[in-house]
Amino acid sequence: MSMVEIKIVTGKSKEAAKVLKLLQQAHAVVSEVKRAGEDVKQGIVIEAYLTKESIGRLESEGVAVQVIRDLSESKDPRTFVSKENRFRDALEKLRQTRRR
Amino acid sequence: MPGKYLNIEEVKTKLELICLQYGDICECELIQLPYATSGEKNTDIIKEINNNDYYEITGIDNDDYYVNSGVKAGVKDCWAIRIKAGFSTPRHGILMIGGVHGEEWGSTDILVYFVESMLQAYHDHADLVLGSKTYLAAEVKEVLESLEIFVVPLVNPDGRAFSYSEGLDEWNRDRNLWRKNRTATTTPDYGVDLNRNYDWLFDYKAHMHQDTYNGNRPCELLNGGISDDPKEDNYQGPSAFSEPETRNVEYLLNQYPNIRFFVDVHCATELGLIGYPWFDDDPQNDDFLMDFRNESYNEFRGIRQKGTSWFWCPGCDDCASQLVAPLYREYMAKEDEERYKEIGKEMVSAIQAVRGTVYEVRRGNQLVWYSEVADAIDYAFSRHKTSPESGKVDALVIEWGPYGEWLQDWPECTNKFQPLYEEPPGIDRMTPVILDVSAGLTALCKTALRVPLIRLTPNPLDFGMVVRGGNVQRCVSLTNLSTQHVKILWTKIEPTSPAPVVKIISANAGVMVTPGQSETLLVGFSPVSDVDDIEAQLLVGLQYETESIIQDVRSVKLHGMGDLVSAFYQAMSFRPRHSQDISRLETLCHSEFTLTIDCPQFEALSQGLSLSEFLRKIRVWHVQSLRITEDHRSPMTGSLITSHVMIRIRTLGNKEYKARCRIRFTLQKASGRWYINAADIQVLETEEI
Repeated sequence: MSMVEIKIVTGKSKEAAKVLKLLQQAHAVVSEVKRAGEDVKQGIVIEAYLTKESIGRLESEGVAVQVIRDLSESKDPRTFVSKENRFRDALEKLRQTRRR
Repeated sequence: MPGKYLNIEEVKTKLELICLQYGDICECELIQLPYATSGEKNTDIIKEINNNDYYEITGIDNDDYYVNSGVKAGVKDCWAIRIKAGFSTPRHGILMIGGVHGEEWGSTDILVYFVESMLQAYHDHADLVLGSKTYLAAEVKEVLESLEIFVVPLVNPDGRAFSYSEGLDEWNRDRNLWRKNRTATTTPDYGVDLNRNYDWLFDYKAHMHQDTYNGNRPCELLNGGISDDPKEDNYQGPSAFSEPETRNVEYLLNQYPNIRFFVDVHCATELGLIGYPWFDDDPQNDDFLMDFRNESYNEFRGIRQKGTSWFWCPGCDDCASQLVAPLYREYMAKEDEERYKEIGKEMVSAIQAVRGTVYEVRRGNQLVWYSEVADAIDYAFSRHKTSPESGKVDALVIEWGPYGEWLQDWPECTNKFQPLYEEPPGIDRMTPVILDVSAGLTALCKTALRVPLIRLTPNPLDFGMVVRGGNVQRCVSLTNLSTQHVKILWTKIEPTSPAPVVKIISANAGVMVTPGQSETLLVGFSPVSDVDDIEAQLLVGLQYETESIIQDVRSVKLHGMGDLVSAFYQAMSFRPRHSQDISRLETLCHSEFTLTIDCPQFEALSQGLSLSEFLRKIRVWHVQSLRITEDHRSPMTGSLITSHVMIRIRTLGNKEYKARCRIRFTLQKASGRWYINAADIQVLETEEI
């Protein structure tokens, strides 16, 4: 199930609350909620990560969803995680030095 | 700079390495925290291990699978590092935690880098260079030789391990966005949001207005902050401190009472933020009775008046139009708030000097768009209010972020929680953040140096029986444990319960306390109104002689029994003797207390009344004489005060009666004065033993 990043621009707080509830039910990860302008009347922008499958459910509730990007097309962040223990050798070496 | 996120095993190895490398020049202790994580075991984790090329099963013992270097899979130990250079003692402690949320990978790396870079600069007698911000070698030396630093870089190893692993979570999402720990809660749900598992307003449905979580008031949206549904990402857990990870943090706060500062490093998405308590509601500095301990406000907490919600207002027409009275706002002493702002300002300034990134200082409930409770920093700061033996802990949260429009600035990043972190010639968006936050943490340490290191004894101070019009004087000793002169700016007494008007007898302002010396502060109570219990704080404002002012307030809890209780006893011919474990009457406002009364003639005095009827009779008598002055009620709404009392009456022959009561007072103004207009004493249960 691939994930997408979405953006939803809602009206005022009642609508935002409804959208947030729907996102909660869809187990979306809400990454940002911000005012569209200085005034809330100008709308509220909600950004979130969720599965592609969930978009249909949101749209069926009348929520206009903009897909910002498909995360499967981005680099997998796990590639930024060290795959080995980079400090094990140094630790072992230091331990041996201290034993002497 | 490592150039890749630390994996789970590396975090511990790196800490061990730091201890070995720098153990000769300072105390570097690796502390194994007492509670191993309780994440998923066996089959699930084995599947993960098999999918990971850097974990290798090396043994099985009692159904726990060991991977590389003997680390148990799914049952992981948590580690802290304690650093202390030089020989000065005592000193303030700073506790820094990170890696609380599984998907916020960078927080752990920030803290490990911070520790290593500080120690390396200290070792080399070199300046600490963080981008364009430089801390001189002498500044690093002063920090490490004057403070004791505790760092838990990875509070939630199971959550991070799960977030690192391939595949989907229980909700078909990529695991890399996993936030909680991996406690098996209710099948098939996993995980507790550790930053909603602390003992501060944990039972939010009891403490908060129902509209904050039932969706009736869209502007309140507490549901965005906490949930009691295990399926949710912000599930709070079955009880406060149900999780080993939060118990580990509590353990450190208990074990090291010198910890004066606490910082929790998180990742916000777009803005860099520094937050301070409180998270439940708007703050105010006037009404000390309106605070999280006061059960009378349980029905009102969290609801804001139209036009006052920082996020949704102005401009929102959706707020319910009617005002929910009383309007609740969480109390914080003005000096405390000013100090938080000052600390935050210095951190912001240091961060900005690195590469120009602008962080914002915000109070808790303005940090993000939702309110929250049961979080770490509110718990840490609340401890000095809930348990007199706990010292004050200034608690802050750092929410690091990339700033500005994410997609514009970091288009290549996969998501907002995990910036690209590649070795050269790859793209590295994490290292600049590490430098930013390290500068902020160093600034916090430097600020901590300016907070006076003093001891006030005794604490608490028990005045015993105080009667109206009488003066009782006691001495409090202020010892200057710092290396600089400390000037007493002012002293004052602030009642923390529905207290009498008290006249302070104290003339300590302007006194200079030299290093290592003690000064005696004369403190006096002179109640000028009837009270049945006194609880107050002696507040001392302090300033270092040679540094810029950091307003700080230290407190001594003052207890006394007023003449109302005394009269009550006399009228009933009782001679009070408090139970052994409760040595005093607790504050009316905030606590449940036990009162044990030896009354051999109870049956005769009660004249055939049941215990319940008897207690109501007492209440009618003593409440009518209580008068409240303007100064000691809520300036906004009037105060409601609720108290619980367990009354135990022992009669001749060791017969014993017990009654658990709830008392609720309502204050009202009449003829220019405030009175207890109504007192609802509900006897919850009685028992004859």
